[in-house]
Amino acid sequence: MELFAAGQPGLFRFEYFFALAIGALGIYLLLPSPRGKASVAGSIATLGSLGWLCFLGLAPGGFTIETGLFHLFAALALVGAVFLVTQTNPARAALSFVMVVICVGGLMLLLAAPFLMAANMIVYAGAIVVTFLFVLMLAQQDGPSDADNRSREPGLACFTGLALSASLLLLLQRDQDNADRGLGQMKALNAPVAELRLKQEQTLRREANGRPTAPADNTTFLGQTLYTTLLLPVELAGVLLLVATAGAILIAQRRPGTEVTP
Amino acid sequence: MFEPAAIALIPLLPALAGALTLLLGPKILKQQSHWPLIIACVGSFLVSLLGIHALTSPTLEIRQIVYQGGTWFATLGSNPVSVGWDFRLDPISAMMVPMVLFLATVIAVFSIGYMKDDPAYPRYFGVFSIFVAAMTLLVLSDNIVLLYAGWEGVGVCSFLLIGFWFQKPSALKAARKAFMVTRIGDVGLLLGILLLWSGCGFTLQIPTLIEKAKLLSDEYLYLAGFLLFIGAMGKSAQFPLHIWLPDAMEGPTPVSALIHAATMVTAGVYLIARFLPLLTMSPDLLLLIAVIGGITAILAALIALTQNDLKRILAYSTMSQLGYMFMALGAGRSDISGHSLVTFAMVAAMFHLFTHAFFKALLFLSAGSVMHSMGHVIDLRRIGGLRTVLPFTHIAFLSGALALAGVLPFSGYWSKDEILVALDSASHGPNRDGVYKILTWLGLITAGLTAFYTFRAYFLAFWGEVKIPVEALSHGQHGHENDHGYASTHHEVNHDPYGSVSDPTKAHESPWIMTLPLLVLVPAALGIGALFGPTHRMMDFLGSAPGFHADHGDHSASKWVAMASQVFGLGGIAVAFLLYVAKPGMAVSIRKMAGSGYNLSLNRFYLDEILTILFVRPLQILGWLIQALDRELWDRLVDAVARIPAWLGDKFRPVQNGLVQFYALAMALGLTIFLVFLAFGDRLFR
Amino acid sequence: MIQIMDLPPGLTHYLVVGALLFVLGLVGFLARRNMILMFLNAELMIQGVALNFVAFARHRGNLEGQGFVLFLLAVAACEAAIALALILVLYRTQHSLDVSLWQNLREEGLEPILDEEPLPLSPLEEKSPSLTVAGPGPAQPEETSHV
Repeated sequence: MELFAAGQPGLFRFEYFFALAIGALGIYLLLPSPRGKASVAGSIATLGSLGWLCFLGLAPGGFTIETGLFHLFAALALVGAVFLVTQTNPARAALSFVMVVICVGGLMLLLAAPFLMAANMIVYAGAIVVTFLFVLMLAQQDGPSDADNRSREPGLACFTGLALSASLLLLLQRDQDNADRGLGQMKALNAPVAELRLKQEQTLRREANGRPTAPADNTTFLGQTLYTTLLLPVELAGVLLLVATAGAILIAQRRPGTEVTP
Repeated sequence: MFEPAAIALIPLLPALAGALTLLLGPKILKQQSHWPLIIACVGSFLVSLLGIHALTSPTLEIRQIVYQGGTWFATLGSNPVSVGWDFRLDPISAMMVPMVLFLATVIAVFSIGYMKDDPAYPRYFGVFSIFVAAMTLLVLSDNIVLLYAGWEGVGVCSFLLIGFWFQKPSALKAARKAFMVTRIGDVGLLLGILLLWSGCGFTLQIPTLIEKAKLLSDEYLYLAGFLLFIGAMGKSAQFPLHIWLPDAMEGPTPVSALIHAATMVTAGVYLIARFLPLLTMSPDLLLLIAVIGGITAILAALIALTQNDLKRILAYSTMSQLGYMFMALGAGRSDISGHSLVTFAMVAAMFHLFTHAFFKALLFLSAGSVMHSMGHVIDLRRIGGLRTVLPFTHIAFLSGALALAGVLPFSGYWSKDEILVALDSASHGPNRDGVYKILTWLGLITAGLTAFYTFRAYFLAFWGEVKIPVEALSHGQHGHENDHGYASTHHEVNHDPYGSVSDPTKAHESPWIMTLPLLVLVPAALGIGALFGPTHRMMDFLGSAPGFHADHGDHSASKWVAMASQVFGLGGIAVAFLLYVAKPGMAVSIRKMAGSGYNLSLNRFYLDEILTILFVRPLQILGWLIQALDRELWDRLVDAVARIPAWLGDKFRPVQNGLVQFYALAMALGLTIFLVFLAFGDRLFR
Repeated sequence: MIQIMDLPPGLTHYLVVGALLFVLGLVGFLARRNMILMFLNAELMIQGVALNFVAFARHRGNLEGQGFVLFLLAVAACEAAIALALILVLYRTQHSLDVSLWQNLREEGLEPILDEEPLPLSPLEEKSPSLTVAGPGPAQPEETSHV
């Protein structure tokens, strides 16, 4: 603990906190409520907070394409998430979720995980969202219902979100600061990883500055990892899928006499 | 040879019998529950006779047999309390123990018939046995705390037996009253014990106490002795702690015979008699004892003149005779030049105790026999002419009455005579002689009154035209649970309260199991006095007790007392005969003339009422106040505290509102707080 | 040697995005009353987590994080299946997707929490097209001009 004691003079990075606070306020205003929309103020607040965060996140190392793409995808993902949270129409919300998935896919691509990007988009946007839209169409054919126009405890939810995100961000910032000064967990984590890295580097094709080449190799190596290091979880996931299938069928069966007519 | 440890058998056997009866009685022995008691009493009686025999053997230097049976409890430290099972058989206790046991046996046999078919038969005999055990313990103990234990034991058993038919509210009240009033005496006794213990070097052995206490200062001695006497007053029903004795007649008649005539009430006399060598150092105290005894004697006699309940008359007569005994003890002055009256007074009191026990028990048992035959009616206005109906009971009652009245040559005369002689001798002393003179005359007058009311009762019950109450005919001879006790004037509502039927053929004598004890007691009651008194056997025996010196001194100056008491006694009988047999109308006219005096006597001089207003009412009000305070304040407070968890719970219950998102929110908030403390706790609490 | 994730955007940036996605998903889960939307918000949370895993995988140089994301996908699929089954069952009973109608787990004796504030009147929907009334048309006035 002495490591952190020698840290920043102030525990609090107020700029992050304020950004998040404004964002939380914006979300609170945007959440559906019966007293009508205050969407303009909310939108401004949210967007402003987002922009500020982006500004804060700009590293002093300069502006590369990668940075720009990252910020684009991140901003779009967050905007999509805000839409998902605040849209009254559930169908629109589902579609904004698709946008989130796509943007996250983009971020994954930036993190050199092309297979995952594809898998993510197929499973989520392709399967899950479609299934949900089916159910939505089945259940709520008249559009947004009364319940959709209300929120349950918007204030407390936003406050929780603010508290959680502020603490997470502050944690991350503190770790980053410590890492910058050569202290902290991030450094310590890297030590046992060194051999692993060494082994992989021997099999990974890399460029001059060390980046792995040829994204297609990612799939190969992912498969390799799955069936060597992560073999047992793979099998367990299979079992889980089987159980889930059986469970879903069993739960959704119509039982005579249990249906209640309102 | 007589083994000293056998003394411990005397209280032990009845105690075992009591435990046996109480444990096995209700289920196993039932109507045979009297056997353990009878066997134990006979056994202890034989042991005590052996003890007397051993005492009178010439090889004994001091006339006592001491047995120390181990420690009951003891404390350590600078002021030790050591109570051991110490027993001492000396002439005083050796006289009392066989008397107690003999009477207990006789009365137990009588009870077999009297209490027949009572559903609580085993309980009766169980408590009876425990009583006998406690009484013998009291008499035999050499340690004053052990004596106190026996004292309390007899008090408890008396309470249990008075309230034996506890379904009757009057019996409950009487039992409670008896216990409460004797409790006041017990507190005094305990304080006296404590004073003596702390003043005499923290010893508890009675002879040591008596010896060492003689060195105490006068005031200390007076106080300690006075407190002891308060105990005796409570137990022996002296004024003003006498109010419980008449009400104690609510118990079964054999209980009255044993406890309230012969044994328990004499415990006070025994206590004072034992401590007399000590108390005689304080002449003021002796005077007080004598005066209170005298007041009690005359008061009881005056009240007994007008009572209509036979058992009540006998109860007041007991009180009066106990007053005599205390008068005698109070006459034990040692400051008369020439000789000390201590031994003479002690012997007089104990002798009267001895004879009184027999004839009073006889009187009570015959009253019980009458009650049994008359369907538990004991009102003298409703019964009459029982001479022919109940011949054996008649003989018994007559014997007892003659003995009580002090007629030559029956036993009451001899013992009463000794008392009066003692009083007269005490009046020849230097100071206070006037008071003793007055007391002597008081004794004489009371003797006359005693004879009068005793024979009034006798004539009313056994002479005159035959009157049988209706209860005697419908119920026959067997015991009735719901009818026991004083049941005449308050019994019928729609009948004439003095309703009687003159049909002698239906009521009959009690069964032989009840008349046999009566007949056994008759010669005892009549002859005991003559056997022990003029033959000086009592004086020789009792006077040789440690601490006393046999006094065969010359009391011829008091001869006139004997003659006077005889005159008073016979005069009383004659007046009774006149009023109740020869000229019945005269009684009514005298009553009219006496008027308020009669009422005063009939209502027991309103002493009960006065004491109730003075003491009982304030306590009742205090009790009510405390109860109200408790109920209103503390109960409410406690209830309020008890309601706090429920109130708190009510405040927290709405958290469980069944909404999933609410629960999720709570979880998320908790998680967040946890995270914050985990991550930043070290900084926050630096 | 230069650490891969030291170049911008660093690990922390991705973690921040992941965290914000997660938090937004949490807020949505707590605030929305439609069961489907609640579930979508849960999926949003999972997206944030997946992003975290991938970022760490890249930072640490092995692919275990990515493998875990695959499992996450599998789990999310199972979760979707079961959740939809449950939602269907609940829907059949109440014929509504409102989760606030299910308050059976509340304390005995408490009143159920109902919506009190009235919703603002929604603007009238545009009239759906309707046909004209069948039957002979209204009497037309005679045409005056034949030109």
